[in-house]
Amino acid sequence: MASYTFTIDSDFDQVPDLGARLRASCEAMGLQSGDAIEIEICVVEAVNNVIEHGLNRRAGHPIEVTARLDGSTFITEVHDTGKAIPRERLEAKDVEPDPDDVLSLSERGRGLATMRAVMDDVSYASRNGHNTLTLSKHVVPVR
Amino acid sequence: MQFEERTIDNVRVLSILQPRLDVRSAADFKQTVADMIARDRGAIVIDLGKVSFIDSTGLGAIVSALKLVGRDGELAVAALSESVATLFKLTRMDKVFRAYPTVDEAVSGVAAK
Repeated sequence: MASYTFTIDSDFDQVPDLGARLRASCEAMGLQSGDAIEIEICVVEAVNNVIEHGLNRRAGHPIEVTARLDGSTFITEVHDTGKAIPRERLEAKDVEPDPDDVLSLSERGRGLATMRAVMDDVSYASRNGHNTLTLSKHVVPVR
Repeated sequence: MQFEERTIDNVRVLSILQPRLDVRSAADFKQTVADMIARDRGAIVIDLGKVSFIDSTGLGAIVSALKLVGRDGELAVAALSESVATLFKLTRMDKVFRAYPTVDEAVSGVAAK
């Protein structure tokens, strides 16, 4: 089973490259490009959240992203040592946007909702200062 | 952030000239488009033809532009790449924004209303 590990510093400037490398690894594992795009979107959100909320934009903290394909289940994990995602955030219901009420649209906070729209499972664990977000998705490989 | 602003058939077109609209550039974009709307409440097309990736902060900035023009205002997006269109679909923003494949079609679309 192929698996990939990417490590970046907690720096927004390093996120684009991480996203691109993750997407390339998905395609190398045989995922369809549509799935690879959705996965890249999710992981960029997750890592941005770590830098913004978990670390208050402090540089100098490694963030590790792993990716593997287990049969037809793709699994990615984001590991960090910042502040954990608060339980209320994890359990908050995703709000459906109302296209007829433009002024009610939220401008922030879509990360977790996007991950739940893409992934079959979103789980989170925080132990001894180490946080792990695990995202998994059943995929149909190209080959 | 690099933009180009032009007017086609009385519709202002704001083209983003960088490949990413994300957490680093969203505030700059938000301010630029807010200034445009403050000067003139007429129709606007946001040209995303050169943008290959938008994150949720970038999307939030585009949403803020829509909120500024309001229900009766005219704002459309054009030339969404596959990644950008995917983000719009995942967040249901494809039901909120009018999106056109090209700037010319977007200009016709907002002018026609």
